[in-house]
Amino acid sequence: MEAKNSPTNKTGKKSAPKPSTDISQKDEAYTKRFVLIMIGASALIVIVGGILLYWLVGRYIEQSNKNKAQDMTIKLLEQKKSDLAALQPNYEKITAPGVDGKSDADRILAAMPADEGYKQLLPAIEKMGQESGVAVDSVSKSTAAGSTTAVPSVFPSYNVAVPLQGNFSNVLDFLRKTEQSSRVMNFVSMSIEGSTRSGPVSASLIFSVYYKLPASIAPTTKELK
Amino acid sequence: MNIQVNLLPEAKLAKMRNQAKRKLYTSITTSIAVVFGVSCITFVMLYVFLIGTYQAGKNTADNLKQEISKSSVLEEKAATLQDNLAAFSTLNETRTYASRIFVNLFNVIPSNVSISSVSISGDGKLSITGTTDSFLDVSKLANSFELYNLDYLPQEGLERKPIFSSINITGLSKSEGGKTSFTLDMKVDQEILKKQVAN
Repeated sequence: MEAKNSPTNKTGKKSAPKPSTDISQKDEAYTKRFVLIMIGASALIVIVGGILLYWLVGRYIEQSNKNKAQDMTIKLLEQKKSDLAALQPNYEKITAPGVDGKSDADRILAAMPADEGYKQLLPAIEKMGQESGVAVDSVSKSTAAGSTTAVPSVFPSYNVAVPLQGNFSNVLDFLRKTEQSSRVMNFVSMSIEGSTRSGPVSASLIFSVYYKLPASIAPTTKELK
Repeated sequence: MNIQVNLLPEAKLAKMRNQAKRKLYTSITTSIAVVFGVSCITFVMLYVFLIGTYQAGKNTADNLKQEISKSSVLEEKAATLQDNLAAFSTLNETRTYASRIFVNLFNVIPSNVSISSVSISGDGKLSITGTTDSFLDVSKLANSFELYNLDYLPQEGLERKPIFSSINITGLSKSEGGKTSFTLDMKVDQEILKKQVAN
């Protein structure tokens, strides 16, 4: 063993010299390597563990939201099931035919059909013409894009041109009948030939008629809060 | 005088210090590994629990959907009726009462004026085309529309408000026969007309 110059410690006392035998040097080197390996291992654990934890937390939050959405869906489905059960008797009541053979549902769909309802409109126009004392020469439908409608509407519509012959007062009566009809027919324009004071006139009236396609019962999405 | 005697050899002390150092670093690394390990295991367990709950809920939701799908026809028909009734109500409120417009229009138009076309747009803009004898007649007609239901022909049961406003002569020309063709644009207050009792 070779003693080196002994360093002086804080108290002024001489401390023992650091041993520098082969065994102590190997131990010192081994400890240094060990510390370095442990620091490396710690860093690796922090990095890999952090990434893994981040990924797991992400999956957990995602699954947690899915479960929350599922709870909401189940609640809404249960609500819908009970609403439909409550609706059944009311629906039966509204679709039951009345004394005239027509149900309330028929009346609603006659006033606002779920398709263009053009076939039903034609006899209605003819009847109004007969009751007003005007001759309805023809009826034609126009669905041309950009055609003017009476009232800008969110509902689908098309225009119907009705040329009439008769006294102007009868034409006005026909117009009144269209205003009173259960099917909404909004006046767009009228061109007149002949005197509006006396004698027969030829008038061509254009109306906008509306319909509404069947309601969509497709599932809708709601934002998760 | 005190003598400090070191009973352990320096080599042994150095080895013990190194051992303590290794132990300390091993403890720190193990602690970090344990913390991360426990956290990961906790989240894995929670995740597995959530998946289990989700699967159980999925069966409930599927059963409910199956039950509801049996009533899909009822649902669609009822929803259509409700929608169409609401749509009719909206449209009915905005119906144009053209016959009332014409009644008031012909109250104003004198016998020497002949009307060939009338059109109305959704926002209540009325356009009239016709013929008369002179430019003066067109001017008088425009004035009559402006004063109608105010100083000229006030209508019974109606507020003294102009039914026709913003009157513009947008077209004026003399034809070969000496007749004057004109186009008048104006705005009709349909809210007032709705209050007017139909004749």
